[in-house]
Amino acid sequence: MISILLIEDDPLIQKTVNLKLKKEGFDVVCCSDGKEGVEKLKELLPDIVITDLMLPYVSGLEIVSAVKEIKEKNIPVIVFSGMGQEQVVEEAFQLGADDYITKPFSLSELTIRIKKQLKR
Amino acid sequence: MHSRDTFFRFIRPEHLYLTALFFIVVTFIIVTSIYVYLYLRKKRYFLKQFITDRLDEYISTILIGEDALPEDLLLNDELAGILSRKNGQQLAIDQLINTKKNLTGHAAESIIALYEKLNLKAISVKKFKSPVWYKKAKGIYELYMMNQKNMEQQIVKYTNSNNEYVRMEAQTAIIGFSGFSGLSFLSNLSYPLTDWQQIKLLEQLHLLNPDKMDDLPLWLQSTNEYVVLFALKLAETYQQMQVHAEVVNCLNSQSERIRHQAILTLGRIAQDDTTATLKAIYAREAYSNKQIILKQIAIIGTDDDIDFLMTVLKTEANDNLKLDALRAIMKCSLDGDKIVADAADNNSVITAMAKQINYEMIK
Repeated sequence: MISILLIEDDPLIQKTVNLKLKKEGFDVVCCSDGKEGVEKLKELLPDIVITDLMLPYVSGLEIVSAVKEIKEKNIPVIVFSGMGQEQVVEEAFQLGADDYITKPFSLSELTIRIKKQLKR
Repeated sequence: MHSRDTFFRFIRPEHLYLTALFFIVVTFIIVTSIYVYLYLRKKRYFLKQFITDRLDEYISTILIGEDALPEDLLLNDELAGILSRKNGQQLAIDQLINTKKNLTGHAAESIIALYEKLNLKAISVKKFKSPVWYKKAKGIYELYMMNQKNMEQQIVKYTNSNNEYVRMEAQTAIIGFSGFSGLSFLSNLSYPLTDWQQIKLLEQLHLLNPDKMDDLPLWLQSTNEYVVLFALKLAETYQQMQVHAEVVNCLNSQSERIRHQAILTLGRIAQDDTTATLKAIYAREAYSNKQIILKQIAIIGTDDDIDFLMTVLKTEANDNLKLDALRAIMKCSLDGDKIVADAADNNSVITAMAKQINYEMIK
């Protein structure tokens, strides 16, 4: 089963995305802050990481860097960004992010983007 | 000895006991109150957390469904209990609004359907109808966020409310419901439209496809200075060339801010005679507006404007304005650097400025 690490601090968004992805047949592990996210990333080495850019303790950008530092596996990262965060998204791409999705987003669009990244 | 006697004449041992007892009682009351307060706060926090968790679970399950919501939503006893309480209802509205900010598509539609089916709209309408301003403003916000378009006619009346917050929420809601045509509230606005609100409205409009603004010429002639200012910003942002004459008219306004914005707007909707108009008003303008005029001429000017800029360079006492004139010369003419070099001849100030501009150009 494909494993996804979802790092999102909004509990309701986290739960909704989690349920949607589980329904799509993915194995999802959720974290509510960046620090926990980095720990889980190193422990689980998931197949894909989805992270919000604005997170407590460790930012989404630092998570992107941490993912790209992993040598054992090429893990794609999709970042969630808010409106008007183009500059941060640009930074995320420079650090190695593979795709981004702007909030508000549709759950089906997110699923399509995940599948697209996994096909690569 | 004498002072000791006086002390004991007034303060007897029983006084000291009573005082000690008083402080013990007061301390006890304070400590107990703090304990009770913290206990209640903690209890309230956990209750809120409990309700939020239950609501989150329920809402997220509904949102991932791919079909439309059923006519009768099945709620278990626990949820029905939560949603019959006032704080439960408000938490549900807050959660739905927060989620709607993050989701689009089918999930967003489900959020609105859920809001309506759980009868939460009635709570928002009740707030909207309240005479208390902050409740009314919150009610408008909730109805707008939940896309309750059928409330538009009732909300539009408050776009000119005497309460700033109610007015702002109503204006935001109307633009949210009707887009550019919602701007018609500007025709009747008699209260201020704050800078912050102007930014918010422009940001809101930025997400929509630009549409016709038939009343723009009227807004540019409004007696409300804020409406004129906002209309000028609209003309600038959406390059409304057809209102050039009205914008030129704004250059005669008593308000320096309006004239300032009119100069900026003219830079974006320039016609053949725009630089001539700007040059004509230059001498009578305030310092900051002079700067803007020179910056606009740098963008829209041609060789025909070099004489004017040279006059500014020679006659203007302010060095910042001289510098702006030099920058404009460099941009208006292909021979700009030669003209600047000639002007710099035997003039140490202009030579230094020319060096600065050359440095800027290389950079």
